[in-house]
Amino acid sequence: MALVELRDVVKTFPARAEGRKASKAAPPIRVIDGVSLDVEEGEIFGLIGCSGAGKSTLVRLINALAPVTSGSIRVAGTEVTALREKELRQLRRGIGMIFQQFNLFSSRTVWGNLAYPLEIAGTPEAEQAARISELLNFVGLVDKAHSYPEQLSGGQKQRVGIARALATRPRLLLADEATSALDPETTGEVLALLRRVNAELGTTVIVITHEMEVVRSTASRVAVLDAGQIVEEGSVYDLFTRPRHPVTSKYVGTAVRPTPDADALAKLSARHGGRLVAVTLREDGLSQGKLFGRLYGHGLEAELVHGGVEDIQGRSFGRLVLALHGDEAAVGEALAELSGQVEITDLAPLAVSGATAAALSPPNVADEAPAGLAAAPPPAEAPRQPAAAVLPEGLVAAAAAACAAVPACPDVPACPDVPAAPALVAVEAAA
Amino acid sequence: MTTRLPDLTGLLGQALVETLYIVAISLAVGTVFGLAVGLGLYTTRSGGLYASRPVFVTLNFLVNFFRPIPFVIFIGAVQPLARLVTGTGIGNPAIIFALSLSAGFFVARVVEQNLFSVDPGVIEASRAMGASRLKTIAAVLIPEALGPLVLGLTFSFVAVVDASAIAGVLGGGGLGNFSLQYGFRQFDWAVTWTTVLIIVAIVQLGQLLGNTVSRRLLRR
Repeated sequence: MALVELRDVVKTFPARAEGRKASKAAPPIRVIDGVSLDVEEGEIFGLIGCSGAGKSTLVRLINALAPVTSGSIRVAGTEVTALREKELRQLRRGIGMIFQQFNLFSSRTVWGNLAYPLEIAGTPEAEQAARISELLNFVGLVDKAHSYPEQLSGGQKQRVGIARALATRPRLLLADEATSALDPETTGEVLALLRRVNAELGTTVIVITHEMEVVRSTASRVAVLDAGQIVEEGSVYDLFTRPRHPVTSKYVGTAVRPTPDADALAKLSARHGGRLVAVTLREDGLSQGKLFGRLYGHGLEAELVHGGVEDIQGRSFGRLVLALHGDEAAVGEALAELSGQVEITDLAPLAVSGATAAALSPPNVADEAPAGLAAAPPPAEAPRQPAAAVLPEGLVAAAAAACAAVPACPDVPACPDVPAAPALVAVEAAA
Repeated sequence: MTTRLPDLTGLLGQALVETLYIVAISLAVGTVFGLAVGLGLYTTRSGGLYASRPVFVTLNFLVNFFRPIPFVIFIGAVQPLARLVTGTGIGNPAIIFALSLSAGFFVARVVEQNLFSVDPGVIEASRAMGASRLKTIAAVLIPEALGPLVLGLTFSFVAVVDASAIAGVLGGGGLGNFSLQYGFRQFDWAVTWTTVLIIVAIVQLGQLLGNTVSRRLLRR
């Protein structure tokens, strides 16, 4: 049995006309639209989505800070939706929660903040002191015990928030955008602390975020929430290496270096010569060493011109662009042989279309502008899928169409970064 | 210019004591009453801890109805009620009754405004930890708003001192009555201005106390 089980959960809010009171005529807005989800005991589960996707609403349904409209939510086997106020309080003492804005009590010292959940739980005073010392030790803030929140840095505040959430030894910790108000370095510290909470205390953690980096560095499984629905769910490695939904691809694009666009490819081609191919290496596929060996076997010289290997949850994932030098026929043979064993895409047609585009633009601009600048307009990350090479001309149109279908997400680069997913996914699925 | 001020020091002292007495009791009762109504307004608003539209609308209407009534008219309007509660419709008890009620409506709005300064996130955090609503109000909401609340009460204190000056219309005493009777009506400017200065001193002392306490609470 999973620690948290959501079944067909729906949450609606009354529709509000601009600046008016709730209108009875307008249908209510389905903020959470039929979500089913299992979070297993002991895991760190990521829930990613852009602002307005319903993440924060969803997490507040789990500890019943907001009531569900319909559906079932079970936490440790207890049906949350059936509980009354008094029973809910008991439930909430077993679920810790941390917040984007920390929500520390400014009228209390760090010590007083940590004492509060213990007061509520009715812990005797002598035990409170021991527990608070233990918590301060755990988060490394012993010297700040008698400071007030405004005397702390953002990272320290969130560590106090985490200590406070852990005071009553909850089985489940809900982290609602816990690092979104922090700088990158502090984010790293807080995420490391969350991993420690999970590893050392065995606390199950649900991490809500709009940043793929957060998911990548903490979670083992992830669900992608978009417009109140879960559009994709799976292990973090699978989502990173084989995103199926355009929203997922967009998030992956923010955390992993994308394949260069046609313009950049034309430049790479001009600089390095040879035949450009994109290769995606997964742990379960052909290894990098074997790949290069095979290419040499065909009498080809492979030059790595772009990309690299990423570490995702301790597993490697590579996206490389290679320039193959050698006999044209040998290249064709090698591609034909390897295409069954590794995701390899011939980028030549794209590089050519990019070259045409470059030729059409004023030569001085194309020549003198640094590569990064010239590539600045939409770096359409198209050629990742094998089918991409087959549709070079219509690609831009397809990408534009796909963009229109994907809702804008403020914290993620705007639409042009999204690969032409729906069309390509369909082709790939058919292949 | 002649003045009877030296002969009136005894009466002036008595008037000062009466003013302090009227203001202290009215402010104390008004604060308790206003705190209750202000908390009611804040918590019954939509999204509040005890969100209830009917209760909120009723409280809001009462406050809006009574608060703008000029105090000198309000005294007369609630006189029958004062007679019912205090047993008399005249003198200091009736004035204290009217002033407590009026101060209550005033403080209610001030309290409501100051509670808005509390970050709703801390209320949510308290609820998420499994605190009851009453515990959240007593241990989080009020302590978090205490600094601004003290400033708001100081503001209310000044308003109560102001309103207390009209006590004479019901035969009540105090500095206001003294000033009108022995200063204004006798064309004795020295008496009038002496009471003015005393009232200014009371207000300044109250303000100083309020500011100091509030600053300490806000640690600024």
